[in-house]
Amino acid sequence: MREATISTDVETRPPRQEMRQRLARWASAENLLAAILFVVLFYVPYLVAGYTVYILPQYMLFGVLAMTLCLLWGLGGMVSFGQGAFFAIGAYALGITLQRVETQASPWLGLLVALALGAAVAGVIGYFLFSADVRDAYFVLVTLAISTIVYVIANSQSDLTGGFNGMFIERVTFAVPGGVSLSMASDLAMYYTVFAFTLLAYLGFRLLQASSFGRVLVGIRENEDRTRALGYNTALYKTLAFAISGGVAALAGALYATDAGFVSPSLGGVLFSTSVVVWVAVGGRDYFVGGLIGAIAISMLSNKLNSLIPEFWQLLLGVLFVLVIVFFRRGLIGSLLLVPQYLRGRRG
Amino acid sequence: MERIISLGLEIGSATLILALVSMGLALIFGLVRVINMGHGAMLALGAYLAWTLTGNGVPFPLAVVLATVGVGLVGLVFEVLVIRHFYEHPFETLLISWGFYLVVTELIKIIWGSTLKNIRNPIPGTFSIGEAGIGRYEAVVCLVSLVLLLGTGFVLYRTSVGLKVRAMIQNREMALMLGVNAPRMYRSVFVAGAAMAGLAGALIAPMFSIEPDMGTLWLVRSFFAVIVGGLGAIVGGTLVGSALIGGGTVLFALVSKQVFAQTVVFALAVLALRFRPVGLLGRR
Amino acid sequence: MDELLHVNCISKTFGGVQATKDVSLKVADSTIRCVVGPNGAGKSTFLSMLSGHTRPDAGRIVFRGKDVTGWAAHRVARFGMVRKFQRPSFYPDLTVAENLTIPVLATGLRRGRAERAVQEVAEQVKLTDALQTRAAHLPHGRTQWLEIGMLVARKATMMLLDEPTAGMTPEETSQTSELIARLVADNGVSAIVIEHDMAFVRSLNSEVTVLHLGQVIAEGPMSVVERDEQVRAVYLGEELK
Repeated sequence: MREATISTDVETRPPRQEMRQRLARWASAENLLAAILFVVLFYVPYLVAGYTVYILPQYMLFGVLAMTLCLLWGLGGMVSFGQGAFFAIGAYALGITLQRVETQASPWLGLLVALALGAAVAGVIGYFLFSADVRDAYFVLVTLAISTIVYVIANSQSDLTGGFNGMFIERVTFAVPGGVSLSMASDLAMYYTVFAFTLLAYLGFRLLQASSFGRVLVGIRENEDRTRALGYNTALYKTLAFAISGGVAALAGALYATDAGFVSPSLGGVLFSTSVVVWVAVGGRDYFVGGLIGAIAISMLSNKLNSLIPEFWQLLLGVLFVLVIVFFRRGLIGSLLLVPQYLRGRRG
Repeated sequence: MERIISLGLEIGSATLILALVSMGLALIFGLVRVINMGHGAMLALGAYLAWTLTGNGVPFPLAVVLATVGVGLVGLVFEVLVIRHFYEHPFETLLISWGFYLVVTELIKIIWGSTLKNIRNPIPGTFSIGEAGIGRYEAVVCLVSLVLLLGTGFVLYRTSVGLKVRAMIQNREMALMLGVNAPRMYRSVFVAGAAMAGLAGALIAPMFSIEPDMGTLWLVRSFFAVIVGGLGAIVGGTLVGSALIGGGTVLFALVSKQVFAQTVVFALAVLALRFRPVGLLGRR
Repeated sequence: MDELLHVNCISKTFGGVQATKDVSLKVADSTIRCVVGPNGAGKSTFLSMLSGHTRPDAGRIVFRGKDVTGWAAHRVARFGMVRKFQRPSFYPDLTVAENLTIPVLATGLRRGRAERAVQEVAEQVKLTDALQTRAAHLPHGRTQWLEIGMLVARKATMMLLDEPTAGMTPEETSQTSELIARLVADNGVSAIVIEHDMAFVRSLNSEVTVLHLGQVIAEGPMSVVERDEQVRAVYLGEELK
């Protein structure tokens, strides 16, 4: 949104300048970084084989989960310690659907149920809270409670969820009428399906950000009272944002379930949900690509270092988290993306 | 009849123990309006310090005192280094204190390992009233909790220091204008809250198994107790909130599993908060 | 019933204190109405009831032919009666352009048309040079104009301005007076202005309603009102010049 103001009169701005400005906006550091990320992710299976191709889809789905928090927190100013709970809801939704409904369309149905359930639960809870103007610490507490409650339900309802032992889910096959089907059994197929999903999610969120909905959400974050006094039903906007986050998180969770093959109650617990907050805080809440990279990078590092120096890595992560909050409010990626602007001397 | 006494004892005990654990959080939350997510870690730290001290032959009461002081010191260091720069940003403080929780929990894992530890019950035996009974040690802890509540109440409502604290809670600008030294007060309150968490941790250590994550559930419970009880109503609010959350869980546990009872109580609390966000005794 | 706004006998009591008692008011299209009175006269409470932030205990508010009494604040604002708060309330970390875009979006404009609308409003409140500046970096007077601009961007038909010149220099105050007069004349909107600054009120050359202890004690052009016995008594000691 920060563009060079060469002429103040929109009508008479020369067309070439207009094009140059539009190009500058498109080729922003943020978009470039995202493009690089997705190109790299696309080519990963060509460059490395085996384990990385197997594990990366999980992290990409964590990335989508992180992006849902970017929507809520970065755009809307609502910290949620409960996104993991929706991820788990989606995962279990798919698992349970596959168990109960044995048809060719089950995977699609599972995804649909996950999306609907995640969005509905978030929507109902969201509206319940936002219509009474519940915010800040109270909202945080409720999201913590959501995580706790989902964990308890997943743990206790053994006949439904497998309880403490978790649930095993096979790699599904997506079929479309006409005989075409894609089996996720192959790691490669799974990889690119998740890749496509992640790319779509990213684009979707970016479009949302640029839309009027996204701008109003920012207004709500910056000054909810003012936004309400301008005629916006802020409770509705926040509910919608919460529902979208919940739905997409659940969808990501459903894909995770078939990808990783195993879902356990801890996926819905407080610790996992707080990990999401750490990814987004460290990566950068203001940029979707920040959350995405934060989730993928931290998960990858955790994986590598956990086998080497488990406690020290977690400690380092904790310290890093504190340092980032203290010194790099906008997260590491967020701060990085500000460098070009800084160099250009345009810091407002 | 005995069943009622037994139930009453259980509810009372649950209330007072939760109140003991929540006091520190209530103090900090009430004054600085910030959730100290590190509260659970301070609790755990208190427990571990007590464990090490008693393991080295230090008599239990002294171990409790030392653990309290120890955690208070840790809180002081944290406040001076980090927290005091962020009082104006409650959001960041919430996250930072969560970071503190992560760091402390990992340090505990590194220093003490993750295996479950135990402290032997320092006062074995039970007090009985007919068929109903309460563990002697448990009763002592409840007593300490009561003393702490009364003591805090006394300081808040009968001393000039407490008056200043209450003034700050009710109207910050006014209090500042009247010459209250905010940074010093905030520091004292934070350290006091940390020390209380350490005290609670050391005291409950013999009653529950000691593990690095023991603080998480207590954090959520305390969080609820404090908010349901009411913002700013430090003593009364904590007591009422603890009674509802702690006592409520005991009651629901009569008809269902313990974990489920906890969940139901949380859900009810969320419902209640929606209709009265400032809590039962809170004012806004 | 061709009045834009018809306030009929509204009252409000807060825990034993009657903040507003039987206040009535009529404002037509393209009109400015000033509401004055000493501190505690209930001016802000009155405005709050119009904007929907407070619910009147009694009485009716009819705006654009509809009974809006008790409507939620966002509903009233959406219907065209928008308030500028007494304390500064804009988006300090966003640019001026972004500040104005958010209300513009509420009028249904998008992209190019929205940008042009923002441009037009910025011209009206003299902020075209600051479009890309962070709002927090504007001097106080211009932030007040920004807030008024936000109301204009929202296409408010009735602007409720709560002390628009608070904290302004005399220079800025007279510019604000011109600005409001111009906005009312050019856009055909109306405004209710709460003010303490009598020179400003006089410069607006409008009807004045005087509130005291929640009641209307005088109404009319400034020249008439300032000669009213009761008004003089209430403002005893204060310079009406």
